[in-house]
Amino acid sequence: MPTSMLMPSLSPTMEEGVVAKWLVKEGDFIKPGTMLCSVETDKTTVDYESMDEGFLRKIVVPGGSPAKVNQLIAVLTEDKNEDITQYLEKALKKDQEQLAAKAGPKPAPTPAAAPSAASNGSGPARASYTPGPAPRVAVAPEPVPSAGGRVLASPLARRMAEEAGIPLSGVAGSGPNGRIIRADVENYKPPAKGAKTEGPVQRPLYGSLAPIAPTQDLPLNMMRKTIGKRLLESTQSMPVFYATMKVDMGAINGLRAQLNRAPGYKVSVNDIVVKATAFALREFPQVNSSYMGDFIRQNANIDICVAVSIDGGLITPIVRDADQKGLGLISTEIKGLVAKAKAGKLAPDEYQGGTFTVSNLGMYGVDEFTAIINPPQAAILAVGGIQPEVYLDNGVAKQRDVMKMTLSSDHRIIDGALAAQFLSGLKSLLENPVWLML
Amino acid sequence: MAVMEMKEAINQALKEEMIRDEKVFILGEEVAEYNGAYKVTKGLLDHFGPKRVIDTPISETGFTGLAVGAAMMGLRPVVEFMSFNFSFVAFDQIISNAAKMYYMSGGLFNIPMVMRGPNGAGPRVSSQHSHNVESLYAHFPGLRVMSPSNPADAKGMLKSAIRCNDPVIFLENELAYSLKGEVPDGDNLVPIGKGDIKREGTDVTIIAWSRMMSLAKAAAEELAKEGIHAELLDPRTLKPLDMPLIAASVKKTNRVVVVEEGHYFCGLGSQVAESIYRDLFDYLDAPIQRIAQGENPMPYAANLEAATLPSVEKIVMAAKQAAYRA
Repeated sequence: MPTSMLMPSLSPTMEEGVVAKWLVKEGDFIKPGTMLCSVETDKTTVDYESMDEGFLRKIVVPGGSPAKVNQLIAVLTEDKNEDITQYLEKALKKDQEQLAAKAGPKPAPTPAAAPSAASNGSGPARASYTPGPAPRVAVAPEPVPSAGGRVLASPLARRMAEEAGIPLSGVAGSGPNGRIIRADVENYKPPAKGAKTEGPVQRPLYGSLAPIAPTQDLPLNMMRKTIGKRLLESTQSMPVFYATMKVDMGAINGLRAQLNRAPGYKVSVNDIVVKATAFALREFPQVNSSYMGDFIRQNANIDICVAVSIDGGLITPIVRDADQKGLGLISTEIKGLVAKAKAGKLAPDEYQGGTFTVSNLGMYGVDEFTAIINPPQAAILAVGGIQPEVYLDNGVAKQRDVMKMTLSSDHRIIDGALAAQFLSGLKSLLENPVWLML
Repeated sequence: MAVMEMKEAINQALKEEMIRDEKVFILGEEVAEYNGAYKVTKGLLDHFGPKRVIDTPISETGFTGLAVGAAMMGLRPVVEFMSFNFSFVAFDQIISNAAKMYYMSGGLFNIPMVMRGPNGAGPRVSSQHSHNVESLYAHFPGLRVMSPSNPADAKGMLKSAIRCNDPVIFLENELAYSLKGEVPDGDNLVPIGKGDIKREGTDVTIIAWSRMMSLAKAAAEELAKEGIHAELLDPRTLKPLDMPLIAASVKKTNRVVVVEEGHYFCGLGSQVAESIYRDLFDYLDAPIQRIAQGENPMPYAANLEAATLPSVEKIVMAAKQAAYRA
């Protein structure tokens, strides 16, 4: 009796994985515990361990190919030469049906459209409304949002524009709230030839210079897709506001100089920010919350995610219970997590389920920035670099080092005053880092 | 072609149909000796006698029930309600028996009866005499609802209603009884379910029936002065609606104003608008505008009555908004 090996679900958000590399080959005997292959998920690469025993009769998804969660990737058999033709046929058919069911009804194929003068010919082609012997197809470019973030057009104007191949984004609406109406489409004039449109920039080539490299279309890896999807969801679904505060870093600079004289330790500014943030979250538990649709979950643990840039994207490994750990331990943990992240070896529990995120671009020379919240977290702290500034102390110009930090807050949970109090508390801790010893 | 008032045209239709078919008879309050509260049945008692033109007591449930029974037995009664407000007394007979008998008897009994009378606002007769009932009766399956806007239609439509084998609610209007117009001689039946374009136009379709068509005509004149060419569409039959005619007009103008004398909420105009949104969404260049009576019982005071009812000015404004000219 054959056994199906399916693409495992290695994280709650995982819908698809890539069989990065098979670690065994067809005909090998597999025991429980044998590593079958490495699977690239949307966040990391994990080795897939077999729970079953048998001969690897057939690899269905070769190395480097993607597969949906629960899709058949290989077949094990008890007998090395067992005939699995029928079994395989059935299993593949079932996969196909499930994929089709998930994808929903297939749109009828439509002929490609000739790009109109005003568009670069991108975007999905849509059949026109009127059925006819040869349906005209219109280019549907991404409309430029008008009122309320979308193009307002009457149903008739929309249809006329589609049939005429006029991009709604290029039509000025004269109706209420900028609604595009019939007259606007009728009076539409395409931009003159030679007008500025999207396209390759023409640059003069000088004899001695190498030709400009051709444009490349790079495939999206799993992580890029997930970053795109999650962060777009975040920005589209959350009312976010930003509050920035400046911190005098004099005390921290002094503290770090002392700490880093201890053998075996090299505490970074970010380590201290993480520790201080954890303390501040303990004081303001509302900031350590999640918006759950019809209630707010106030998290008991303070698990701080640290944004780490890695090859092909970024990931946020977690310092669990950061409020209960000393600076040394936090520093060591972050270093270990960063190394693992860069090697693509983080286990799912090391990057899933944080309650707050710290993102620091100070080391790149960024003064200040705003970060996008990782749902379902309620906030994210964006930390800039340390900059010298001149300030007046009783009329005397002095110099000090300052750091700007910006809190992005989900307004459904956090109000302005609370964000200000949280930042103020955090600032006090950072300006008096000795309190972190308490 | 003779010019006559609406009430005369209705009288002619009754008389011609009673001559044509002896099963047709009239019953209601004051229809015989008094010649009708609004003189619609004038002369019919003299012509056809008390067996076919019957004065009833003030008993809407009784005489409507009697008419349903008569229709079940093969006669063709024409019930006159002195005002359609009084039909509420007979609501159960109309809805539970007249409308449903054909279905509930498995097709054994046709109910060829007409219920006619003035519908809607009268001149300062206050709340209890000013209801518009078209949306109420159009709601229930089994009834056909008709409402003429001029004498010629009134005659042709009523003749079709009397010949129809299903119960028909025939809604006239007290203020339109004296409306004059040319009426063709002879049968000239207006088929049930057939609307009519009363004025050709290209910029906006104004859908109106009964007395509202007179206001719409005045509004169209005003609009024409400003270069807005309104098309006037009279559905004539309110159930079933002439959707092919409505579709042809909306495809031409792309904008719609629906005018009704009844209240706004759940008024018949909302069904007209919904049917257009459902079937003609891709042909609309603007949201459908609705003009209707305010959400209050009809005031007695003349100035308040005028304020709550649709007016030429309100229709003009709505048409301008629909045509993006406001």
